[in-house]
Amino acid sequence: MDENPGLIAPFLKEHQLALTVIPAYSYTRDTLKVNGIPANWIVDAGGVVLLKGLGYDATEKWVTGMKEAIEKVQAAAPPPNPPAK
Amino acid sequence: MERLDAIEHLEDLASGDVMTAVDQTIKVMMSNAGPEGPDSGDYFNVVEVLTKKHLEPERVVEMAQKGLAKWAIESKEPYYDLYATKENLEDNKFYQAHSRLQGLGFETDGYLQLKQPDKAQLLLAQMDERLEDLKSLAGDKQDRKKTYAGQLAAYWGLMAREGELHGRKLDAMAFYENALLTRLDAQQKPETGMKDELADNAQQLWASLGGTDEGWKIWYGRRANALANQATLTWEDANQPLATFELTDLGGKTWNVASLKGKVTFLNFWASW
Repeated sequence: MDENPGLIAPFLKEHQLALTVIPAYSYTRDTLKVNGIPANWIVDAGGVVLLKGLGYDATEKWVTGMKEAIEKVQAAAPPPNPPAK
Repeated sequence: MERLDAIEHLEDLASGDVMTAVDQTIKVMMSNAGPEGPDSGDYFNVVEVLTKKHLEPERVVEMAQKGLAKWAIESKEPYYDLYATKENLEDNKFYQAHSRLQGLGFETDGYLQLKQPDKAQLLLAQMDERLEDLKSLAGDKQDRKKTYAGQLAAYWGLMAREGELHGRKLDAMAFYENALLTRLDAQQKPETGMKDELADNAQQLWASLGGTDEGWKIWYGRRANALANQATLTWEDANQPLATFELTDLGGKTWNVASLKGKVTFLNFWASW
């Protein structure tokens, strides 16, 4: 939710994170109406948001919980095979 | 100072070691201070450690008073920050008021340890008044509300000990109950396995009043466990096409809805603050 890349880069480095980061404060807040963070959404292969998670958990529980949620969405709508180009 | 902070949380350190660290910290604090002497926060940091370790209550009272006197001077100084937002100013006011209450709490604690409940009682009356102010300064901001609840719980804990020293056991028990419940609200219960003085003292009094272990578990234990196991992460089902976007990531790559098609995407909304 930061818009200032100067703040984000050192944060990623400090926490040794390698992920795609898109600064998108107004899209997140105004268009998607995410009004609390941390929030986690899972979008299926067709671009439909299927699950929305809000809040946090203990680290270990969080990882398992997120994996389960992703798998649930993957199972609900298997990616088209072969992937559409 | 960091060493002192760490010591505060070590449970089984010999009191001699704590005192050495405290004396060293005070020495550094005095030599670093300008002509006006150490600030109130310096005093309170040291006093907090002594209070937690139940060491040298005379010194706790004396240093808490010095800190409070310094606080009174500091609070008259204007808050200078050209870039401060309205929220910064509100935070500053809130945490300043909170710091005074902490100071009053330390002084009260010192008197309770010195078994001078009358003096403690006078300070508690002051705290009661100041807590009202702190509550209104907290407004509806979550972190400030939580800090307020923590301070309120500390106040009830001191009230309970004052009641006990004055021999008013039932009053004290009611105050302990307030303290424990407020602390659960503030989610500031020590983690399971850590020393929990407030709960231990309360349970002791409970037993001396004829309360049973069983009853204690039902009254307090269950609530405390429920809090420990509480998950704050909630999932809801949705079925909503992702709104279109065209945004650039930190590496300069542009993303839109189409670039996510064909794969399940995990979106994590976060901030570094």
